Amino acid sequence: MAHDPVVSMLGTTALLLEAHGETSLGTQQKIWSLSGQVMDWPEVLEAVPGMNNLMLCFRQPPLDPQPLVTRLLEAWHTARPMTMEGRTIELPVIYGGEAGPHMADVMAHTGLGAEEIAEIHSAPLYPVYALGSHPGYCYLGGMDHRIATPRRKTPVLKIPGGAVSIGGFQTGVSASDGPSGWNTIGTTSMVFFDVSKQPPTLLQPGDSIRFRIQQVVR
Amino acid sequence: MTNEQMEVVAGWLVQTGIAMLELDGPDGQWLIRNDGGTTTLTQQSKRPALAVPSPHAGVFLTRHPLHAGAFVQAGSAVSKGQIVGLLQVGVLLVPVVAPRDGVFVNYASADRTLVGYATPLFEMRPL
Amino acid sequence: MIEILSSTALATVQDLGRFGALGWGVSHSGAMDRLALTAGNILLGNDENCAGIEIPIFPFRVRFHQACDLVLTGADHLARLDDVPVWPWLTIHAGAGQILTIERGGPSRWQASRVYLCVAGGIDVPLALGSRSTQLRGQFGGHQGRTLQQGDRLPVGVAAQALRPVGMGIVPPALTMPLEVDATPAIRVLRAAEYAAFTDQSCVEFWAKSWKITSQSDRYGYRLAGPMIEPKYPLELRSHGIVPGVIQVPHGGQPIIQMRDAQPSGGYPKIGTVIDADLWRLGQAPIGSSVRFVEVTWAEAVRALQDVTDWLDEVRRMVALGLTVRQEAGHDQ
Repeated sequence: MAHDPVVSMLGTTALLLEAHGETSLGTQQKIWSLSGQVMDWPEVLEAVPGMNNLMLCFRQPPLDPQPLVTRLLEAWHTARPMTMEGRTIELPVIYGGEAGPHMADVMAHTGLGAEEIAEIHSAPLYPVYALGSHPGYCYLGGMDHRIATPRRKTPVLKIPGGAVSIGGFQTGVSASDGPSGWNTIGTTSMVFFDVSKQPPTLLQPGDSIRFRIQQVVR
Repeated sequence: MTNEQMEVVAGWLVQTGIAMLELDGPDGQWLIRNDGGTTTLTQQSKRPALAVPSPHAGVFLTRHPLHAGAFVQAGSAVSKGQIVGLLQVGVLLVPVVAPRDGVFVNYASADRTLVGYATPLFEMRPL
Repeated sequence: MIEILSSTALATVQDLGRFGALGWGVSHSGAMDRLALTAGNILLGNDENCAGIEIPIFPFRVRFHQACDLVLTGADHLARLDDVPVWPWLTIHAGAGQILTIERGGPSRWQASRVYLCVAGGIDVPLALGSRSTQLRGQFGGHQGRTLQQGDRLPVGVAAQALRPVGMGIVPPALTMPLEVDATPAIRVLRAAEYAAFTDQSCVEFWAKSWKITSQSDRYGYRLAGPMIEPKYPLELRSHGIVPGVIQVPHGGQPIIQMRDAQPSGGYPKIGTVIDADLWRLGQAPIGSSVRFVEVTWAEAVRALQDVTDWLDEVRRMVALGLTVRQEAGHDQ
C-alpha cells in the first residue's frame, strides 16, 4: 500500500491533501481525477488542484472532519490517473538583463551562467499541472532541478505580467502585474486571462508550454 | 435680547408699519406690538416643556453605542426628525427622534436604562 | 447613480466574494468585514450579497444623483449628509443631489479601519464570474476592475422596499462579540500543516507576543512585525491552494496573513490559519495596531463560526421585528 497523503486543515475554510514523493505527472493525473470526483460531494464548495496536492473548500465546516478525511483518502487510493491531451503553446523569452532582474540570484545559487540557465530552462516541454496564484497563472511541472532556486526571503511587491520566474523546484509565467516571492529570470508576452471568455483562461491543466530563447541579455 | 436691541427693532416696526413681531428664543417668547406710534414689549413666559414618551419598551441610549458623548446637549437646538437617542432591543437600534423643531432641555431617562411604553425619554421646548 | 467626488484611492466595490473560480487562479475577494456588509444589506432590505463600497481611506465624498436609503457600517467615522450628521450603523435617507462626506472619526469604542457604504438596491455593477467584487489583480469585477476614482459614476440597483425617512440600526458586532487578550484585540488561530516545523521558541512567542500590523498591509495580506519566527530546517513546499486567513512565514521570519485578495495558492510554510469566524475582526484591524493570536481547537473554531451565524440570524430576526413594531407604533413619518 502506498503512503497515505498528508491531510491538514486550512482554518475552518478548507483542507489540503498533499501527495507523497517526488513531484510527478503521474501523481498529478491522480490529483486531477480526485478533484473531478470530490467536486460533486455536497460538502465541497470548490476543489482546487495544486502541485501534487488538492485543496477542498467547505460549504460548511464539518463538526468532525475525520469521516470526510477518511472518505477522501479512500477516494485517493482508488483514483485512476486521468490523462489529458491538451494543446501546446510556445512562448519566446528574453532571459536576463532588465527582463530578468533576479537572474543573478539564480546564477549565484546554482553556480551556472545565464546562457546555461536559459538553455536548461527552455529545454523541457512543461505540462500545466494546475492554475493558481492569480487569474490565468499556470503551475508547470518538469523543471530541471539544476536550476532550482529558493523563493525570495521577502516577496517582491510588484513583478510585471509576462515575468518568467523560478520558485523552489517550479517555474511559471506571471499573467499580470503583482506581488511574487519568486525569482524573475526572463520576460515573455501573452494574454493568459480574458474574463469575457468561457473558460476565461488561455490554458487548462493538461495543456503544455514550451519556452524558446529569444535573447539572453548578459 | 438687550433693551437697546429691542428699541432698534421697535423703531423698525414703526418705520415699516408692521403691527406685531413675535420673537422665539430658548428663554421664551418676546412680543413687540406697534400700536400706531407707540410700541409695547411683552415677554411671554416659557412654553411648557414637552416630555417625549417612549414609543415602545427597550434600553434607552442617550449616546451611540460606539461614542462617549450624548447625541444632543442641553440647550441645543433640535430639528424635527433629528436623532436624540436610541432604543436598543437585543441587537436592534431604533432611533428616538425630536417630534418637532425646538430646543432640547434634558434627558428624562438615563443612558442604558430599561424603559417601558410611554416612559418619558427626554424633554424639549418646541418653537 | 452615485458619483465619487473625492480623489481618495483604495475604495472598491465589494460583495461577499467570488466563489468557484479558484481553479482559474481567481481569488475570493469580497468585503474584508463581511459582517458589516451583510448587516448593512439586511438593514436596507437588500439581498445579503448586494455590493457596497469598501472605504479604507478618508475623507471620502459621494453625491447621490437619485434618492435612496443608505447605511454606513463597519468602522466608526464622522459622516454627514450635507450638514446632517450620519451615525454609524443607522440607516438614513438621502435625497437626490445630497452629498455624503465621511471623515476619519475621533476616539471610538471600536478602533477599526474600513467603512462600508451600503445603499438600498446595492451597487449595481455587472457580475463578473458570478460576483460584483473588484478583482484588482485580474483587473475585472467591481467598477472597471479597479479602485474608485473621482468622477466615477456607479449605478444603484432597484430597492426592495419603500423608502423610510428614518431607519433602524444594529449594535456593531465588535461590541456584541468582543475579543481581547491583555487589552489587545485578539484573533483566534488554528495550527497549520507546518506548525511543528518551527522552533519551539518561535511557537511560544507566536502565541505570547503581540503582532504589529505594518504599513505594508492591504486587501492582499497583512505583513506583521514581531518576534522572529524560524523554522527548524529550511522548508521549500510545492505550491498549493491557500485561503484568506492562512499565516505564512517567508524566509525573512515575519509572518504574512493572507487576506481577501490574496492569491489562491502559495508555497511559504504555514504556522497557522486565522479562523473564518474572526476574519472580519482582522479585516478591520488598523495599520499600526497590534493583535494577539489565541490558539483554538477545531471544535472551538466551528463553534465560533456558529456564533457568527447565530448573530446574523439575530440581526435578520430583529430587523424584521423592528419593521413590524415601527409600523404599528406609527413611528415612520
